[in-house]
Amino acid sequence: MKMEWIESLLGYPEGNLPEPIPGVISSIIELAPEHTDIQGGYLIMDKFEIHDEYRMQVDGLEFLPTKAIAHQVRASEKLAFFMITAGEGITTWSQRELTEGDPMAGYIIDLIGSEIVVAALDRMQDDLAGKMGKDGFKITNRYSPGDCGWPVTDQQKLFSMFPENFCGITLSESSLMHPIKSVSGIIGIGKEVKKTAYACDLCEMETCVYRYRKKIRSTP
Amino acid sequence: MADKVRVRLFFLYISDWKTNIKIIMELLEQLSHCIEFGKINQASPYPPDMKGQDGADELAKMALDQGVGANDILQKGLVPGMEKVGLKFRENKVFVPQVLMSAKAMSAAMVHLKPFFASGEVERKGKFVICTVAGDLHDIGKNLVSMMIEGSGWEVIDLGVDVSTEKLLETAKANPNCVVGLSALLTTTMNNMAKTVREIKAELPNQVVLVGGAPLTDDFRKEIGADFYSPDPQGAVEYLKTLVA
Repeated sequence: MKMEWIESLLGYPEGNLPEPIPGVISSIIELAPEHTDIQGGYLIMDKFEIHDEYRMQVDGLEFLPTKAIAHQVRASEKLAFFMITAGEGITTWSQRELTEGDPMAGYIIDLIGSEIVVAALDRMQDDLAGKMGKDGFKITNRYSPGDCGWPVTDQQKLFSMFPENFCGITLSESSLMHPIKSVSGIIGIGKEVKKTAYACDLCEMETCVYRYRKKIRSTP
Repeated sequence: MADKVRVRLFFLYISDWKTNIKIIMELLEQLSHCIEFGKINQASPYPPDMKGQDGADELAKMALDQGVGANDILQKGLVPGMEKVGLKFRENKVFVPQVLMSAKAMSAAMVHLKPFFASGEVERKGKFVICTVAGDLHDIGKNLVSMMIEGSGWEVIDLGVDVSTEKLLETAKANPNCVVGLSALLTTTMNNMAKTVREIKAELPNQVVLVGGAPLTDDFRKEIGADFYSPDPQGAVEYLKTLVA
């Protein structure tokens, strides 16, 4: 976890974090492992179809991942469906600080919680790439319901593929995950697929918040 | 001779009064400064250059003890401080962490004013009902707007996140003439916002609805039939001012 990312995500120009924020960030990074319980997993499906209207059929379920995502996974021979969480503790800690303690710390904890789950997912994706690489397969970028206009409601179908309460992650009726710091989605696997550096170029959503975050994360 | 004494006493009284006014004005300015820079109380180490000094908590209490009206504390101490924060946030001179500290300082001062809100001595400008729309759990933007609007003298009813239209309508009906504010962070939940605005307007055609959130634009606001969009919290504060002007 880089201090520069946190600095940028907080909105501050580089090197302009006012006191005492750098110290607050450092102590949160140090204490975060005590409040984190990372769990995750993926399942690989060999059989699926992607139709013209960007409908994706897997195991009797129909997903609507939109043009940008369908285009990226179209050449896949397998699809990995994943779920991962940083656990409930980080959100509880953040909420406690926001409401009863130091709101600045609460906000930064929330931000770091998001970064932790993304970093854990990076590692899971690397693990998948390593395993698939042994058989000569490559992987695509990961995509989640909510990305590039993919309806969040498709999360209900994705969750139905996993055992109930998988890794302690549950889904509300309005398709929100608990713990909050959780991510689910798909990754394409195949000999002709590729991972692109910056997939937002394919999406038409100019004002998307993920585009902004990915820009920050892709800044060296 | 008696007349001379009376004149002298009058000038002493005036001079005393002027001194008191000066002290009170300085106190309110200090309070405003604490809000602007997020100095919550004496124990708070933030900001470092105000370490050990009284914060909004102590100064608000001191002002009340010195007989300053609760309404003056709100309008001349808290509101100007929060307004400065809103403007600096708009101009990227401060960022979310600092705004949160300012809001916390304001809340610390507000605790002392609560009884006066209840008694009606301090009049709010109106009621503002705010939430993050159904399907969206993001609350930082909503909280910032909520804090700024409360800091501008409105009563805020915060319904939280992932809020259904039914709950919103119920609250709007229970609080006639309130203004509704909706927040969404995800492009996917913008559709839920559109649905919510349509349903509110269908049932309460005159209900004023403000919308905000990172992926929104004014074109989207027009498309869904909301009354106002602001890219920053201060814009919402300024729009609300026009409603009560």
